[in-house]
Amino acid sequence: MTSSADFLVHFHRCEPDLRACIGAMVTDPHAREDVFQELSAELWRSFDKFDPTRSFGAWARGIAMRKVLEARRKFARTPVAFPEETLAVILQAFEDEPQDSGEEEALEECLQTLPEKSRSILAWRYTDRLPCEAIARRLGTGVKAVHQSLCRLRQSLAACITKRLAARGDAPHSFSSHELRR
Amino acid sequence: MNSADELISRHVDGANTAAETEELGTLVASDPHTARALVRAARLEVMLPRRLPRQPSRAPLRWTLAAAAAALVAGSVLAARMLTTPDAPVTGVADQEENWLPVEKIARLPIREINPAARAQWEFWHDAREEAHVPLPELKLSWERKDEVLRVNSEPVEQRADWGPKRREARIVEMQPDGLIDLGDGDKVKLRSFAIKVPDFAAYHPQANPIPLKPLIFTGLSGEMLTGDAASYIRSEGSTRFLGNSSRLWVNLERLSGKEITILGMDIFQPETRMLLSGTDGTSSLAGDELRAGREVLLTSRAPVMVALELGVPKSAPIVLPFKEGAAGSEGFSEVRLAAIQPGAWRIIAGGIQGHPKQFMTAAFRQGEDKEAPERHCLVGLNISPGLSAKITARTASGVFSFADYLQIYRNQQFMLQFASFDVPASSIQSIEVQPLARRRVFIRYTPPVDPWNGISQETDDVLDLRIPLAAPDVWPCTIIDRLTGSAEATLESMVSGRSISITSELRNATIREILAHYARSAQGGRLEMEPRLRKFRFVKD
Repeated sequence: MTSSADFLVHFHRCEPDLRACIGAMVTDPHAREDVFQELSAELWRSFDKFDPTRSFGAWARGIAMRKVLEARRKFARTPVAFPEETLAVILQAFEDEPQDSGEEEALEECLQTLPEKSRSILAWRYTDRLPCEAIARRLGTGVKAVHQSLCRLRQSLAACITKRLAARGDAPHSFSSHELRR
Repeated sequence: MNSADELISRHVDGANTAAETEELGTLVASDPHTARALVRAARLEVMLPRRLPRQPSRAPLRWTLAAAAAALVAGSVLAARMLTTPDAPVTGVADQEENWLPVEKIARLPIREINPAARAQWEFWHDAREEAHVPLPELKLSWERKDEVLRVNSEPVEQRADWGPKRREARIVEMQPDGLIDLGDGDKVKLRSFAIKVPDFAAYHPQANPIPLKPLIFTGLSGEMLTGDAASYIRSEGSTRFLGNSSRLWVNLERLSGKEITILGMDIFQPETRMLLSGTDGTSSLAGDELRAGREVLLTSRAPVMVALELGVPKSAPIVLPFKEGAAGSEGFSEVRLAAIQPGAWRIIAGGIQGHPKQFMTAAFRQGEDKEAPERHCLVGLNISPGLSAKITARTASGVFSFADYLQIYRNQQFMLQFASFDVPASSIQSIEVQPLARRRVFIRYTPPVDPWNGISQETDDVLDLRIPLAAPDVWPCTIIDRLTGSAEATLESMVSGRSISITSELRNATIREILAHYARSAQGGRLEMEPRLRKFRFVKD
């Protein structure tokens, strides 16, 4: 396999997780995209330095964190949420919480079990990319209520994913929400 | 105190306050469970858009447009027009930035992407309406996509009786899964493109001159369609207002430049109807041709395009008439009609006072009265669609006189009248040519200067260079509207003071002298420069 093909295999496999990693560290969606773009370019440029005996994801996440910090230094307005030490903790959490390949499939199944209204809220949020304010207007409710609804939906989906992965016996970790674990 | 899950959920939404972010950071740093929960939430955030089924969502569309309409509030105008032709693919018309919303973009356009220009425009025209005491028509649109059917519901429009129809008929069009739309009378046609538009009323001033504008209709699927919809608009408004004694229809297709348009059903016009499709950069796509039903026109120009229709002008009409001072009007002023006689040039062909309100005429005559040298001013008034400027040339037996260094533009709400004054005996002028110039997207209105030769307006590619002598009289009320974005929120920035200010709110009716005084207290002379794209004016000290 050529280097390019090699890179693409790794990159495509890890792309969602890299996005998640950046998303955990950066609050603004546009800034997330910017950082991800920077990261992608950097990974491509640096791919010859990648040690194939190691995890591409871990290597890429390390660079991702560097890019996040660079962005914060370069553009003062890049809303990086946490201090560097906290970012390191998040990075470690990604290592400790490897993604299960069946998660997306489980999520799809879980989405089918949601009531229509819940699916609509999620669709507005994620498909139509509506801000919470717009969703609130549609629902005739307040923004805070929308945040709470989304929070509950996320919790519900997380619990459902964990349950389905466990039922398959291939869940190396719990996908349950933080509160549920506690 | 928020729960960690709430903080995490709000974090992925980007909704946490600084304090909440700090609180979450503390939790993440101190509690591995929270850190992992954040990781899972972030992953879920990435997975959800990928895994959510794309539902046939009627609500977003309806909500989006309803909200857009609501934001425009009463008095604003949205008009929906269909550019359609059988067996053509569904395509966009123009960018949403230009207020035209292609159908395929609508479904996913967030409100904020639809609205800014429209809102700005409404604000502007609201002001204009107040000035003119003319109510704007209302058109409310509600759209919804029902499964794979696009439903368009254009609700009735209230209009003043003297604007045309009192009420526009509501119509519903559905686009079915195969892309066909049912016209409701048994005909099904394929939707090619579809747009909602916030019309630019800049050229639509029924009190001033019967120059109609937008929404313009180069639409038509068939004669029936045109008769039922577009034609009724033209006819009903035209017969009472637009096509009456004016016999002229101006339309601004700048937003369609570079697009292919199809003109169908032109049988509604007179056989002698002439049309010019001209890029305002001087290029023409079609000039002087008789329009025929089914005629397809490709607007090759990427520049803003102006379209002029000379309706009902006999082909045998003289193209160039001797221009004689006072020949056509008892008040010594000739209206100028423009006709397409050759690509890139419009020539004045006839005179006659038609449809001008008295106040414009009065202004014109005041301009033309030069008591010291009555023979030396030939006055030409041109009805020119907003956004269009022209280089005016007078031909005499002894030569050609260009008139480029003085351009006075009247913008009375939606109607612009340009006057040119030549320093030659009017009786010697054989013809006057008007060469449209591109790039003008700014309206400036001011009363006639006492000394026209000291007021210079000169256009360049993207800068309107208004050379304003400080010695100018104090009687130049100035309104500057940036048509590029439809916003009246142009800002004037002084290089002297470095301050910015909203012309709309503060200088809308200021005199130029006041503006200069405001921004260049110590200046002895200079000019205002404008960069339309930046919507900035700046005063440059000479």
